Amino acid sequence: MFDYNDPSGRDFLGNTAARDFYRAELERVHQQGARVPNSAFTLPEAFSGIDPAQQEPPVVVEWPGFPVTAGQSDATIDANRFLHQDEYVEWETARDAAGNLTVTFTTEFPEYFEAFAKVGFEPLREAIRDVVPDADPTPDELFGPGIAPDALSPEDRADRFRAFRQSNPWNNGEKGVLCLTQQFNTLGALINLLVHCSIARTDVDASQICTLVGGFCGQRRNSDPRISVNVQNAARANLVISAADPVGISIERLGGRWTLDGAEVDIATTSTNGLQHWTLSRNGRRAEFRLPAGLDLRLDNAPVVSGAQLSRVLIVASRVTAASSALVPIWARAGNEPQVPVG
Amino acid sequence: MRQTTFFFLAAITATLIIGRPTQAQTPVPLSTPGSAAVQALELGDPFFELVILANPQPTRLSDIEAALQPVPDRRRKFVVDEGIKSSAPGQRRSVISFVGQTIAPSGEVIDLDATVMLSIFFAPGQFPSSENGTEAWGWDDARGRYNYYKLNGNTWMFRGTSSGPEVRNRTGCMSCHLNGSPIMKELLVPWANWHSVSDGIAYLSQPPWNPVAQPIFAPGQLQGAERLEVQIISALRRFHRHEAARAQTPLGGGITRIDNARALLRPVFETTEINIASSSVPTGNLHPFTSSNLGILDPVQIPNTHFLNARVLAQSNFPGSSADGTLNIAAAGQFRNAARVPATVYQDLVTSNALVLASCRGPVPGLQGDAHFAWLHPEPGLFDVTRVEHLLTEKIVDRNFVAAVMAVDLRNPISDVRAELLQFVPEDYQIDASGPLDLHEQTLAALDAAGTALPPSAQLFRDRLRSGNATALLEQDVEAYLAEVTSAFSVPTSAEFDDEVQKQFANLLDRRAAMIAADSVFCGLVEGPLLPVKGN
Repeated sequence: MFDYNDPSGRDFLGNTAARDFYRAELERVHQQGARVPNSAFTLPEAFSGIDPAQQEPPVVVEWPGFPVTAGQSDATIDANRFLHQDEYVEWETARDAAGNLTVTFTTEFPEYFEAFAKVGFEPLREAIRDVVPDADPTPDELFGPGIAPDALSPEDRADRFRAFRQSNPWNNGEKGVLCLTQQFNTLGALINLLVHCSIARTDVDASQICTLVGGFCGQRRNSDPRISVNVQNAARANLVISAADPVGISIERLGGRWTLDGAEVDIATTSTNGLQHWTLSRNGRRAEFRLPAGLDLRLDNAPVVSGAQLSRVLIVASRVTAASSALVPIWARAGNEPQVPVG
Repeated sequence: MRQTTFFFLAAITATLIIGRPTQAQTPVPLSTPGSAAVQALELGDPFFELVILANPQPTRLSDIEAALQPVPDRRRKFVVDEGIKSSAPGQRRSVISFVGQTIAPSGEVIDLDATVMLSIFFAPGQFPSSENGTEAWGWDDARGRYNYYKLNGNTWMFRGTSSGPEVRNRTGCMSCHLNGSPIMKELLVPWANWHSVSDGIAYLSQPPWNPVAQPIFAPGQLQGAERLEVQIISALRRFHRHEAARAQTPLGGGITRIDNARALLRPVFETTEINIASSSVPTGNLHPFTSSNLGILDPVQIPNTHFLNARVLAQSNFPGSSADGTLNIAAAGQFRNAARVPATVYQDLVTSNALVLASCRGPVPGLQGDAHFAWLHPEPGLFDVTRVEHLLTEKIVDRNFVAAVMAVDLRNPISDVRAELLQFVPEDYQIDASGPLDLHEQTLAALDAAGTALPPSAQLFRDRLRSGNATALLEQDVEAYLAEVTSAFSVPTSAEFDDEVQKQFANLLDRRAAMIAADSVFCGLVEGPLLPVKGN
């Protein structure tokens, strides 16, 4: 089994049981993808023996986080995270009584926290505290009312944690934000997209591949068509691919033209009275935008009022490992999919 | 395999085909609560106290709600419908529950938590679409029973009680409330067909369903099914407590006699109610009411209860449950880890079987596809599961006894073979603080008395009971079963995997077909089932 790394760069908080659960889940997802006939998608261990000098640079597919499918106002998109925010990035927008604005973005998949949930309630609480300092979640908040979490099997704990994400105050914005929750923002969705869009189809233009894989590619999204055309081109170039480790979506940057009191600034480094306005954390899986009330910090000459507004210039990315078919084991090449677990 | 399928169909049919009302329950009008006819009913639940005894009796929903709980934010509204994913105009059903307390005109403080609920239909902007037909139940704690009511025109009618002949006859409200207790057929995660944390239905909060000018859901009133689940489970447990207490006669010296044991223990042997369960994986555009162009994206873990009666066998897995109330066999909770169906394979199963949503009148034209959550299937109802839980935690039965029953027809979660074993249970037996004293002995004596006429299922029951370690033996059975399933599912794309998936899916379709067979209990539910079945 491949030693999948902690996507948030936290080395699973030293919890080897959570690490093992996480790796087992990633392994299951990858093994299933690697068996799909004629797909260029393969297991990450296929790349381990390649001379770095021969390794292709990772395919980096970027897209803005604004959910074009929503067709709603920015305020509505902000207020309905679980309905509209479907570009593998979600956010919560909060304004306190003094008018200070905070927008918290996350691209973390729930599988990470589910791995801790499988170990037990206390490890999950520690994982949440690692994201939301001083968090003191109760079993009811994480698993729903009336549940004694440590009486549950590991899988039941993970199931209930996943099911209750929308009402979990440490995730739904009431007390914090943890992980992706919108129904199409799933690890399975990302892997399936890579798997099915990397089946070479030379009978059509690469840009059409998204329309040919049925429900695995959202044609009207920012993300899926871009990922699909990139991995399709990789497959046509006789490359094999896999999701780059650590697997997930990274927040790359907050674009746009920013001004503070009329003067252009670099939002990535700008701070006011010691407050950094844009911070990235957890290995690029989480970001926070802070705007004190009354500060004239503008995006493209407009005051910042919503997370959806920021999402138009928020660039996120999926990284795909690629290598020539000739350099990987035979079982990793398209058309030679392994029939038994590899590794 | 064919025989297994036949047996299963026979089982589910025998279980679900109820004695459809052979004669209509005669409802009792309640417009004159002081009349001898009403007094004779001995009603004392919150609905009777707060609505029927009110003068005038409220018949408008807003007045009924106000009579039960004057504080609006202590009312909870839940919504269910098989077509809930579609925002198209139509009717939806709402269950209304209450929290907190109310002071009755008599001065009595009445607890409303899971003691009274209403059921109505509503349409966009109209809550309810009509008061006529409003249904209610209330819990009479003094008498330990649920009472049922229905608004007929402007007259409230008494429709039966959980301790009345309606339960035995399955007439009136009890044609759905089979055991006389509250029901919620899609209990537990992900509460298919309900507005819930697993599937928030946004349009319910928006115009035209919820007009801005005159909202039908006050802020915070529309709640997810996960909250109703807790109330329903609480209502079931309360019912079991009273039923079990009613069956007990203290004999002195710490010994208690269990009377009417066959009735009390029936859910150990027989599936008296079923729930609809599923995996938590949305099927995307495989569901005809979903507007998304994305399909099923994640692998489907076939739920444990597809394979065996996992909620009794495995560890606790629903609100308030504990390992003491189950057989605590870990392997029974691990089938879904072994039985994973890739999204592509599941999609192929749906399309190759031409699934179509069907009601009890047959397939609905234009509704090709699957349910919103994958692998929708019947499982033993939580009424039965919580009854077993209560019997175990109160030491009215012991694990070895339950394990000896569950060993029979283990691979059919809903089994009429197990139901046939109930005849060997004594009508009464004794318990003390440590558990049953003579339940095993009396049951074994009845089995022995049958001599060589015992069918193999009863022989297995007898042998396991006599072994004294039925739980350990059952654990071995479950582990062997799990190993088989694990092996069959271990190599997707292999012929063995394909065969197993096809077999399990065919089994699933058989079970669904039985659910909507003519005269099944599901066809008696007011909103009617809509289940994906094999098309032509």
